[in-house]
Amino acid sequence: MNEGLVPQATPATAVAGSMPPPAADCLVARVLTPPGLRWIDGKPLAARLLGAQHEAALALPGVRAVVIRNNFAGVAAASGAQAANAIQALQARWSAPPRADDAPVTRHALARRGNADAVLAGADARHTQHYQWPLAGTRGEAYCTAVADWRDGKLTVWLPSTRPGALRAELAALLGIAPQQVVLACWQSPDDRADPALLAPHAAADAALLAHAAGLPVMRRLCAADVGLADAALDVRVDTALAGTAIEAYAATLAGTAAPAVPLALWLTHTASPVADGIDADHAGATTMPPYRIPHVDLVATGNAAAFDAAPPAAARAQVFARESHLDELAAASGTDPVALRLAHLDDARGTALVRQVAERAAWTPAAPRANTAAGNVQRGRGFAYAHTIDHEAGQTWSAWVAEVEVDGTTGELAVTRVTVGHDSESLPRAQAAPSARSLELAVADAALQLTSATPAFDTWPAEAPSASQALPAVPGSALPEVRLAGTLAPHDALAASPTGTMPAAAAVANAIYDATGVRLRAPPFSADRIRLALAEARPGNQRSKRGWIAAAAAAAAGVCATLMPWRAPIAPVAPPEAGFYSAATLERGRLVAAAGDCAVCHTAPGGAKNAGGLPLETPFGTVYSTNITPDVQTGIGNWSFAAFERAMREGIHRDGRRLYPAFPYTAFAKISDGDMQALYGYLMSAEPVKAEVPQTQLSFPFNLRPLLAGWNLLFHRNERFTPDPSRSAQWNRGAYLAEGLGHCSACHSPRNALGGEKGGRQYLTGGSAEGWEAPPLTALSQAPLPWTEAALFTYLRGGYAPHHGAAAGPMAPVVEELAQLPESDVRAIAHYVASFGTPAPSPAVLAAQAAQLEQRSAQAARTLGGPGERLYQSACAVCHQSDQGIAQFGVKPSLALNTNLHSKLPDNVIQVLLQGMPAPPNSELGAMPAYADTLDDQQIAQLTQYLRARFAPDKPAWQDLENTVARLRAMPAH
Amino acid sequence: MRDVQTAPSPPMNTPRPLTLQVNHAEHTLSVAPDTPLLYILRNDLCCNGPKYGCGLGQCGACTVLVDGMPARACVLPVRAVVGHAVTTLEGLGTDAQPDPVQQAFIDEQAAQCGYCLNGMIMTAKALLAQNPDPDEAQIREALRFNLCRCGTHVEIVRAVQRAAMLQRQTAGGSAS
Repeated sequence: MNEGLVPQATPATAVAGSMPPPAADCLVARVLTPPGLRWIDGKPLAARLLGAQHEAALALPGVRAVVIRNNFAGVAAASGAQAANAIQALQARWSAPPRADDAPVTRHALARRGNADAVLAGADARHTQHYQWPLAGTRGEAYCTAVADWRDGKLTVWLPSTRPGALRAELAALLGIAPQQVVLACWQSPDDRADPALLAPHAAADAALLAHAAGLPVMRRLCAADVGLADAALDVRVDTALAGTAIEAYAATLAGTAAPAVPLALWLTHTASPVADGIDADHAGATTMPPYRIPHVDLVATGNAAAFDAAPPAAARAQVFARESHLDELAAASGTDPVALRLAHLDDARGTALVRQVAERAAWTPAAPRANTAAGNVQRGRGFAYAHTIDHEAGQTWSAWVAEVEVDGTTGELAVTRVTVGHDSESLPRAQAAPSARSLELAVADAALQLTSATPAFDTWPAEAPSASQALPAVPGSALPEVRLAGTLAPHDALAASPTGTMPAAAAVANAIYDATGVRLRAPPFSADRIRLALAEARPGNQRSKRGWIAAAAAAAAGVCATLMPWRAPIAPVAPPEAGFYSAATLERGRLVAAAGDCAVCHTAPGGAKNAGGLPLETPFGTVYSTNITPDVQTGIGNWSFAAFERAMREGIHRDGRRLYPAFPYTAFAKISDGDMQALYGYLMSAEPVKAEVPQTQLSFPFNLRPLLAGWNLLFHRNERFTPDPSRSAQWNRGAYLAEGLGHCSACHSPRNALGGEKGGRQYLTGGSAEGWEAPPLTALSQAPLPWTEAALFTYLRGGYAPHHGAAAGPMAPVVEELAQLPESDVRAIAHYVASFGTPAPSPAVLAAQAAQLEQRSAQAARTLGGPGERLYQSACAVCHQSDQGIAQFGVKPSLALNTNLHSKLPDNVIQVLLQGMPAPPNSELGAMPAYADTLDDQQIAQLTQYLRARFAPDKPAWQDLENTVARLRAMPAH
Repeated sequence: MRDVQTAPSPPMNTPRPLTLQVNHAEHTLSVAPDTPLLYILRNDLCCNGPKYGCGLGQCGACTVLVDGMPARACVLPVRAVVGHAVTTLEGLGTDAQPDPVQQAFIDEQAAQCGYCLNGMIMTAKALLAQNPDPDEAQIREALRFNLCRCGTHVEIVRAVQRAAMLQRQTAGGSAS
């Protein structure tokens, strides 16, 4: 290991204990991430910045600095929102991202002993495996914070310190000052969860640049995605040849993305790095040489070997994970005990002693029968791993881990129950007092728990998640592992502070999972959904789908019994639960469930009290009035028991036994989980009761015969809870749960049959209608001129507007307003789920090029058009919609050439927006659009609509019969 | 049956207290959030600089600045500017100390009936904030959606050019 790269701050370069200015006194920095940014051989591959509106951003309120240098564009503003506005106002234009050179991949030998190639080629038993090490680890979404202050010719940067010497020189070069003017202070924001070694230099450089420009303290928070490292991973391919139980040859090839050593800002500003971090390959190779007696070894890196050397912690960890996992696989293949296999190949006396000591302390007995099936479907296992590193300052370090785990075979949940750790080091014990055993245990437990990456269940709400201030990302329901210590026992702090002490952690846990389940995971993190998926794949035959089919059949049979009874019994009224009965956590969860379910959107009349009902819903079968769902005993649901509430939500039956019309989407709400259902009940019952009679729903014959709905339910309703798809990610399942269940997206966005039943299967989310508005298809059938990407969907659902598509209007606007109450991660999950139905998204650069092409085509079409439509457009629309004319206005100038509605088959949404305007977009920053119902007549609206279609969607056929459509939509009652 | 998701406009036509920031002062008023901003400015806050012209956001006589950006107050619901800084003609300068843009319009005698001038001045103010030295084509482009029926366009363009000069002088003066 290269000591200069180990997170250690020496007094010469860092001020310990100094605190940065409070966050309230810091400006917030935002820096543009070049589209398509990725790292190759330690260098970024990114688009070039062609231009940005420096003055426009600087003129905005709260903006204190705008820095544009070569390809770097960043702003500092008083608040995060103002910084975000300023970044938008930059209107950065980027070149297309460059392609990677097609130059042949070079291979560099890192270390070599004997002739591994020849031995492998002639081997009888050869094993080859690939392993992967994600650079951002399990914390891809986590943030890293740095604060910088430029004052009196001195730059002070507070950061979770790492490689301080190099960083000082780099920051000085970036600002054109002397390294003596740079002070680094070690400090970590309590909210940070990211690996500082990966992100801190990038955050520090951004903060320094902007603090230097602003003359005020600047805080920069970034996550791996901001510097193009979200998906970066190291790949290790291991080839081995076995002769009996002896390893004859070992070859490892390192490839993939190395953690970049030089901060992104230096590359973007074209500042030459003053630090040559690379160390000679011979030395680096020696440190990564397997610590075993293997006659033929070949270690190779593809690409730039110096890039891997520059970031040895990650590269060394990846190598140890791959080697120790592979040795476990060899042990299994040759029927040897994993510890015995290591001992058979160890020459080094101190290492041998440590391994023996750890095995003894962990009561590791090779012959012991594995009693690995515990209660229920929980399987137990144990795994061993060993590492030996040579650092030219700290000397040699040995460490060995035995991890013991429990894996729930049904859910895939992993608990690390016990860890036995041995650590030995040549370096002298430090004079400082050892930290308490507790902090040492926490360090070890943290290392183990990081790997398990507790995956939230599909109905986990962030309110229940542990707060950021907690020391550990505790897995719900699993305690910290028990930690035992062995070894010659380096003082406590050496282990707690040493990154090498935890090197074997990942492999030990992976080996333990294999021991428990027979499933081999070759890339951390070991999250529950990955384990579950691997277990499902490993099962002989596809039992999962078979069982699923039986379960579905059983559920369907139960459904028949339930739904064939046209009359259902009333459920006795109960007294409302007392105030204070539900915990604050339950009520908060219920509030989020209600927001996700849009309860108030339909159950609140214009001007009426929230959830007191009375909103008329126009349906093809007549008008349905929403009911009072406040806990009023006479007019609301005050005397509904939970059983009555749940029956209504899942089966569409009133407490008194009456059937509810499916204008109430119980067809979707049946999917809600039990926990969410109870929280929702608690939340609604804890609200203020409002006495409000609502009008009786009177549909015409035969729809007024509610018992007939029993038949409807038999045909179109399945009362089944949501079941996650184990082959999909946790995020997808969370999105599916929110979209299919609570969010009831398909209620509007799926077509319906003549009886009003939703069409599923292939027609799921292929477009429907709501309140005289078209609910466009959300699948590949979308008519949008530019494909909806996951990012665009998120922007739209979160803020009510997507630049390449338009704004949320009509019935979608209140949905976006409700979604604003949900945590960002949930809205991201919905976007992720919906995007999975679309076509694969092109890159941002391709999208931008397509957008430019559409604009150009529409500008061309405009030249040949004229007449009254043109005059109406110029006077009423152009000021806010023609971004190339006039001056920028408050709010957005949505491009009509990219508007989804203007490219649709139906003119309905365009006409509706013209008639009703957008008086209240979900986000006031968007501005507003006035209604033209009272100023333009049917003929004028039709002329304008025709013109808009011809100008902005010139390749689509003209809409027909527009005047009648306008008259029809104008006659519909608007809420 | 059809299950229809409806779009109730939230009850935005009933008065409720809203806090507005106009010309660096905070005002809390009980108003219906749907009311056009222009009505509140003229009727409740006595800012009569912005004019009621077409009432459709087409002529620009009602222009105010919201966070420094021009906005048409006659079609912007007041709820949209909660949390944003509104500047009207009154917020630019005083009789004794007019803003450079106002001074330039006086110097060039750019008014005939003067009804459009509020919009011209406010839009010019926004233009000069973004581009301190616009050429004539840029001035015409920025003002193209502000209508003047008297035909004083030539004087107006000259006034904006003069305003740019005055503003640069003021900026230069304060910096030295």
